Amino acid sequence: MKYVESNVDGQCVMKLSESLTFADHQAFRDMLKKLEDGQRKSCCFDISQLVSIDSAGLGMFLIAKDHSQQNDWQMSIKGPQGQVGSVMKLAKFEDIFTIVG
Amino acid sequence: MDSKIIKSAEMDRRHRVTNSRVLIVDDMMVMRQLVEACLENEGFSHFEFASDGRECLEKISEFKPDIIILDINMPEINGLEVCRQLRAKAKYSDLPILVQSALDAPHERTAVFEAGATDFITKPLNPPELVSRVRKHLENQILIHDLKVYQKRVADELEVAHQMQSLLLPNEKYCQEIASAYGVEVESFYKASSELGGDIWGLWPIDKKKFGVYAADFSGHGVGSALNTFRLHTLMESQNFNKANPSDFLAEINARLHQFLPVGQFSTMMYAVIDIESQEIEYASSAAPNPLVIMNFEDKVSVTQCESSGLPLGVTASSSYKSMRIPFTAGTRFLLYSDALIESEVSPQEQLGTDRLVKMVKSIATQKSGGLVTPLVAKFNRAVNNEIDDDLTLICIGNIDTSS
Repeated sequence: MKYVESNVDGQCVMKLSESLTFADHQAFRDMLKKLEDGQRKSCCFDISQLVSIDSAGLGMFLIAKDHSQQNDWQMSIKGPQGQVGSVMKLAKFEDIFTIVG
Repeated sequence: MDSKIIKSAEMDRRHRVTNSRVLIVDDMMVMRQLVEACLENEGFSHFEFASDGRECLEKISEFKPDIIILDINMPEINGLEVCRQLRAKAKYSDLPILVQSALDAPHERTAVFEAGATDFITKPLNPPELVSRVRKHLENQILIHDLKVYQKRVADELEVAHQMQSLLLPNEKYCQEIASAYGVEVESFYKASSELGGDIWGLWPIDKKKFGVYAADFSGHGVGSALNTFRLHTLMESQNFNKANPSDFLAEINARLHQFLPVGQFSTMMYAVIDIESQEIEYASSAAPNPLVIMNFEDKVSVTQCESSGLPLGVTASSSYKSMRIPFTAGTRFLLYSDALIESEVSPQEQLGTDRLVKMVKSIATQKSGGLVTPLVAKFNRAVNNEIDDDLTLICIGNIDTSS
C-alpha cells in the first residue's frame, strides 16, 4: 500500500494506491496514528487507485472506523473500483460505512 | 526488552563463549602454547591440542570442539586438507575454523577460504586480534545455534498445531458416511497457506432428510486466524444453534463472534442446508464468495453464480442474513470455496476471478465422468502464477443422478 495525504476543501484526504493486504497492517496503523496526531475532524479514504484488497485489508477499514468512533472524527470511503469494489459490495460495507463515488 | 533481561542474556553468552572447547592445531609447540596462553588469559579453559592434520582429524570426534585454530603448513596432512575433509562432513559444515598462517599472499588466502576456512589470521600472531576473532566466531556460532533451536521448537509446535487443526475438519470416512446416508457425493479440498490456516469447513446431519454444510474463512491468515477457527469450532460444538435455519444460524454465530473477536477480525461464512427430500438447498452467506450451482441436464451443462453478499460475521453486534433457496435436483452440484480460489493471481496484478472459475468448472463438468474438485484444483494450480499466499478450501456436494 502507498498513500498520499492531501487537503481538499478543508477535509483530510488519504489517497491509497496499489494493494491493501495483510502485509500492510503496520503501515495502515502508522497512517491512522499520523492522522489522529494531526487532530483531524474528518478523513476521506480515497481508494479509487487501490487495485486489490484482501480480508485483512477490509479489517483495517473496520479498525479505522473504530478509531473514528473512539476519537470523534468523521470517516468516509471514496471510489472503490474493480476487485476492491466487488469485495466491499459482497461484504455489504455500504451498510456500515459512508461510501461515496 | 527489559534491560535486566538483556544484561543477563549478555552475561550468559559471555560465559558460553569462554566455556567453549578450543582445538589448537599447530606443529610448533611454542605456537600451541602461545594460542593457549592468549585465550586462557581471557577466561577460556577447555583446550585440546594436535601437532598435525592427522592428529586433528583423529581427536575431533572425541573432543567435539566449538572452534578450531588451525595452522596450514604441517606434516602428514596439512591445514588445507583438514579444512576440505571437515567441510565434506555435514556435522562439521558450520564449525568455525580459524586459520593462522605466515602465508598471506592473495592467492594463498584465497586457497584457504576455498578449502572451507571460516577466517584467516596472519602470523606472527597479534594476541588481541586472535582473541577478538575467536570471540566473534564463537558468538556467531552461539547465536546461530540458539536460532536453530528456536526454529526447531517453533516448527515442532506448529506441526502439532497443524495436526490438531486437521482434526477439526471432517475426515474422508465421515464425508463418506454423510454421502451414503443422504445419497449424495461429497468432495473436498483444504490447504493452508502456511502450517496453520484461517479456513474451516464442516458438515453435520440435521435429520433424516437434511444435512448442513458450512465453509468459513477468518480474516488474515496464519496463527491468529487459525486460533479463531478453533474458537469457532468450539463455539459451534458447545452451543445449540438453529442449524436447520441458515439465516438464524449465521445471525446467532455473528452475535457470539462479535463478543470475542477483536476489532478488524471477522469471518466470512457460507452455511447451507441440503434437503434431499424436497431437492432444495437453503443457504445464507456472510460475504462468502458466490457459490456455484452446476447443473448437468440432458448433456447440457450450466454454471450459475449464486448471490452471497452479507456483513461478515463478528463485525456488528446484531446482523440479519437472507436465506436463499435453490433447486438441488438430480445432476446438480453445489460448489463452495474460499476466496483464494478467485483472488489468486494468474499474472501480475490479474486475479483468476469468478468468470474464469466458471469457465474452468464448466469445462470439467462437461466431461461425463469423474469428480469436480480434484480436476478443478489441478486446473487452478496450473493457472496461478506462484505459490498462493492464502488458505484454499473447496467443498462440492453433488446430487447423484440415479437415473443414469
